[in-house]
Amino acid sequence: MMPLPGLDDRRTLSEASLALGVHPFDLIRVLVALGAFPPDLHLNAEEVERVRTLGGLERWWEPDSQGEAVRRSDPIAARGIARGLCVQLIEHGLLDPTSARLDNIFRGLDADAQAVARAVLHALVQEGYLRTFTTPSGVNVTIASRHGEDVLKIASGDAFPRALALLWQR
Amino acid sequence: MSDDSTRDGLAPEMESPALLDALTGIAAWRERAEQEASDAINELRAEEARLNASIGDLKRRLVLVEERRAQTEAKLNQLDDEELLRSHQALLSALSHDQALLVARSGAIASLRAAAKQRAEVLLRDDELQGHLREFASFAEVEVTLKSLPPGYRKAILAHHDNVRRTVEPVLRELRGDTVALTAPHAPVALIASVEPSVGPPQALVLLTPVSADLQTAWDQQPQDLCASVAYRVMAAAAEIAARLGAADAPIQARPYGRFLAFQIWLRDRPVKGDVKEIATAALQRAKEQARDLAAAQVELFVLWLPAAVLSPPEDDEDDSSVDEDTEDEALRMIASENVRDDRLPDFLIADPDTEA
Repeated sequence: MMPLPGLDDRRTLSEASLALGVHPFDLIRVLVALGAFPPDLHLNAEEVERVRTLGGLERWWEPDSQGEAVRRSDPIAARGIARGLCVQLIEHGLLDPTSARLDNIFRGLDADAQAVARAVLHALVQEGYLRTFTTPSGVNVTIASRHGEDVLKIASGDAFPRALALLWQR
Repeated sequence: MSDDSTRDGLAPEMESPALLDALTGIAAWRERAEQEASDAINELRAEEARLNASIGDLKRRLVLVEERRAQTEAKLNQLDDEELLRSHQALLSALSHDQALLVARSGAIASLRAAAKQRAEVLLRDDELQGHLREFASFAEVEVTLKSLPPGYRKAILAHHDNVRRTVEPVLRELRGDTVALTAPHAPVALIASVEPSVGPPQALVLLTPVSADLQTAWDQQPQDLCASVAYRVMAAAAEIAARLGAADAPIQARPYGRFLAFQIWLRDRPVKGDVKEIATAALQRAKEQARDLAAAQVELFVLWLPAAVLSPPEDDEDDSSVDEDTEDEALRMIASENVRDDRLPDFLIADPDTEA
């Protein structure tokens, strides 16, 4: 049977969150910001794609991405994630004031790698290399303008702040 | 002298019985008076002893009364804390009750949905209905060509489509779950709202739900039930409230409150437009009106505003000086984390690095 319009492609917000790789609470914030929160808590396929695009929900860690290549090339896993993450930030041009959703950093990584990426992020935020701030649709991240060169050095593996290096030296 | 009196022919001098009598009388009087005084003194001493005994008894009673008064005054002074503790316990009890109700009705609704699906499957065994459904589903392709058709054809096609729609509507209603409605008593479910501080510029707004805190991490391991519906609608309301207050970018954090899920809108340092309670109440009212799934389960969100202190009452065993500090600390922990920067990091599919190590 043909798909029934408005019925067969309906997804609950939980299902849509899984498809988009975002927590439902974050998805809801995006939907409210877009003025598109569905009262029946369902989205169709078209609406899911619209949220993905307009909400800036991107999947950075694709197999053919440069960040993924750098990550895999490093013999030390945590260092590879740190370098790959910085490559991703640079690739997406996130030098202040340009920013992107913070959760884009994690999308596409498996759970173990996400845990490391989170620790990397903490270290970089604490060191002041990255800046996070809230927006109407969630939390964004950007490279602090005076640390652009430093992030480049991390990406290339030339220099790491001590707090970051501790992640793989302990 | 007496000789002269005798010589003068007066009555011979002799002992005066009158004086003797008088002196004797005086002596007797004295004896009686002494006795009477002694008796009176004895009586007075006895009375004094009785009075002293009474005074001792009264003093003891006075001490007891003073102690009871002091205890009652202390109790009176603790009524505020006691009221907070009782209110807090009532709050937790109500949340537990409402959580159990939501879970039970979620199960009942799931059963009704399964039954509706089964009824739809029975209807779909009809080949003729299947044909109508195919026709109904393909109408979008026909619809785009309608403008190019003569008005008479267009009208006939639309009338036919309307007939088809009416034919398939019953099965669509079953598939959409529109026929699902619980025949159960109407049940209000408490949604607790609290603004901190209650006077002055608002720092934070808390929306406390009866939904299990586990939903935050286990949302992908369970169907989207009534509990998720409540949480999602409250989160949407929180985002709307922040926007209407002119603080659309305010951090909104989902946090466990014991076994329950709370949402915190952190307004600190943001100029807020309008009255927080008024705007929040209106947004939550809209959320209630939109919740057809909750209405089908005979569940209604009941918004209750409580002082922040009820959400974080003072500890029983703290001394006065530390109670205030701890209450404030606890309220701050509850209302919002100072360390917003770290809390902004999303938890989606992220394990705790410490447990990984």
